[in-house]
Amino acid sequence: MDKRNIWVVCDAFDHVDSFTGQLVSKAYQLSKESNGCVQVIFLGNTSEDELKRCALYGADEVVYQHCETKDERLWLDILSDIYSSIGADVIMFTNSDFSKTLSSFFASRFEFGLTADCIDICFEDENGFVFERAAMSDSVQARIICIDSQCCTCTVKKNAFVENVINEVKELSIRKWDYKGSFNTDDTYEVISCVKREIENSADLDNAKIVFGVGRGVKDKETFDLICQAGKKYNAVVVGTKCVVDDGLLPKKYQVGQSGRSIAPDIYIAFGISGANQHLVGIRNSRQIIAVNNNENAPIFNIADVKIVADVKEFIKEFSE
Amino acid sequence: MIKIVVCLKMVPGKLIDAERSGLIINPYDLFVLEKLAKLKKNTDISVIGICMGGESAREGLVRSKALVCDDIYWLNDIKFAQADTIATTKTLSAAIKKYIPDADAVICGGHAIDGETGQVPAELSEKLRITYFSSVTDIESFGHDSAVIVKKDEGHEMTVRCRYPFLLSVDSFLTYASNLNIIALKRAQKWEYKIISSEELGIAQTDCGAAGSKTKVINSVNIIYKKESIEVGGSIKEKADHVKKLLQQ
Ligand SMILES: Cc1cc2nc3c(=O)[nH]c(=O)nc-3n(C[C@H](O)[C@H](O)[C@H](O)COP(=O)(O)OP(=O)(O)OC[C@H]3O[C@@H](n4cnc5c(N)ncnc54)[C@H](O)[C@@H]3O)c2cc1C
Repeated sequence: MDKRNIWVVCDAFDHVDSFTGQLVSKAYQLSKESNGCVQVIFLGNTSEDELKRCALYGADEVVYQHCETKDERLWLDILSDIYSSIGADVIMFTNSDFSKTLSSFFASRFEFGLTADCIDICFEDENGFVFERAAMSDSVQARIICIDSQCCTCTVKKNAFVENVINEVKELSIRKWDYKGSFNTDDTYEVISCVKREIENSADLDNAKIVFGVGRGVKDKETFDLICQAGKKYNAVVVGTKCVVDDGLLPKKYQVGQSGRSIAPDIYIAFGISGANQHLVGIRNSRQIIAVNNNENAPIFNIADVKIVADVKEFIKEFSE
Repeated sequence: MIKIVVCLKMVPGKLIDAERSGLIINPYDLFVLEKLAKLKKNTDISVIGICMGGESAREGLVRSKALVCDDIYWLNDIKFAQADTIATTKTLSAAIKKYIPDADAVICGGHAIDGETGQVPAELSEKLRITYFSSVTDIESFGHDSAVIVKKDEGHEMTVRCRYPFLLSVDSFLTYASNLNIIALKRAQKWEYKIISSEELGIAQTDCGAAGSKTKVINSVNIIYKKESIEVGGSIKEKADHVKKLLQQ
């Protein structure tokens, strides 16, 4: 039987980055399990020495196309050209914004199965390649296969795989591609202004042992202030749900959950938080969860270790005594 | 008049509120609808909703209609069910090509909070062969031959003028709908929604729904584990003291 081609598409443009290293390491492992050949597809501008680094992680071959611009449509055309000529059984992309778009374009053009944001990939005799990802607001993990698709494509979450230098010396071949199509990109837009985005930093949360979470059940400033005071006393950082942040009670950098931060303190106390999935995914790694809520059926109690049915205001008044 | 197509998905309401039953407008799509409703007040735009979904999508469509939509195409056929992104894209693109081929802008929410692949917008732009803008956070205005949008990329926020036609993937969302005008809502309830079957759309059965899909979920497991919790009873003082003790350990 012919070897399966396992592609890794590098999008770092001028070097082999560690994200690509992670994908190649996984591809190498899959190649062992599935009798495959690991090919790194490198578009951009770099040196041969840099490309050779792919062998460290287990690549068999690099296909290199020199180009000067990083444009999704151009890359789509080049990738299509390479694919049409050498084919692939699996294609792995990073999940950068660029590669998410590129992979979607590619899958749509060829009508291939595409699994987004994979956290694991395995090869099974009965199912072939199986892709794992989270869905339903990160509350479930799904195992996905491709059906009726010549090639399986996926994007991979950063740090899902470990970059691993193999302990065998591989003979790497570098194939220079000679794309004959146009390198023009069409400019159908004009940038009017561009500002740097401040990445907000909530470093105090990284090492916090105790965290107090505030939800909409905290209805007045007095209750909120009492929670903050208690926070000071116990050396706890105060965070909130999206609703509380939207209401302006806390800055965005202290929002915990799917569209905020994830935390893993020893103790998390949820004050007046209902426990929507989008919040739970951010706190599920807490060692101990204590929840205070006046609704005894609030979903937060499903994942709490300690359940306290009480009015937050009464509770915090007593707690602050 | 600028013609704008909005792709609408209805998702389980319990995903944002455990006590909510039925389907709601995907929060990212809701942001788009509300934004368009604001812009429509002083710009001559026509907004056309397009939704693939069964009967349970009706309430969300009524709200979309009441909010801003001038017209709605409801792709409602059991043969469309269980579509992955490839089959969804094929169905939506077939409908846009057939019914709204002169659309100036197609706007999609960046994610649906159930499937959460975020792939449909880019896939759709490839099928429609129109320019694609991802990570759009805001839409500022619609002009005669272009629109002004705000988008982010790694580390920057850009204001961009884009020429029609284009497709936007919008990365902002709203969890709560603004209050709807009661009269508009009543009118939307009485409106006759065009239901489009696969046959009417002219799409082969093997191109849509489960049969047209290229991926299949073989199983899924819950990853938010339920825990056995200990309930602390007694007076409020006893409850507070219990927590104080835990914190002092
Ligand atoms: C795409 C998307 C991303 C999201 N990302 C996030 C995110 O990152 N983080 C996040 O937190 N949310 C996020 N959300 C929102 C999420 O779905 C919920 O809406 C939100 O977490 C609910 O916040 P809450 O618990 O503060 O409010 P509510 O759901 O309103 O809950 C309030 C709770 O307080 C209780 N309560 C009321 N009064 C009292 C009282 N007097 N004493 C005690 N308890 C009381 C109630 O019983 C209720 O359980 C996201 C939503 C979407 C759609």
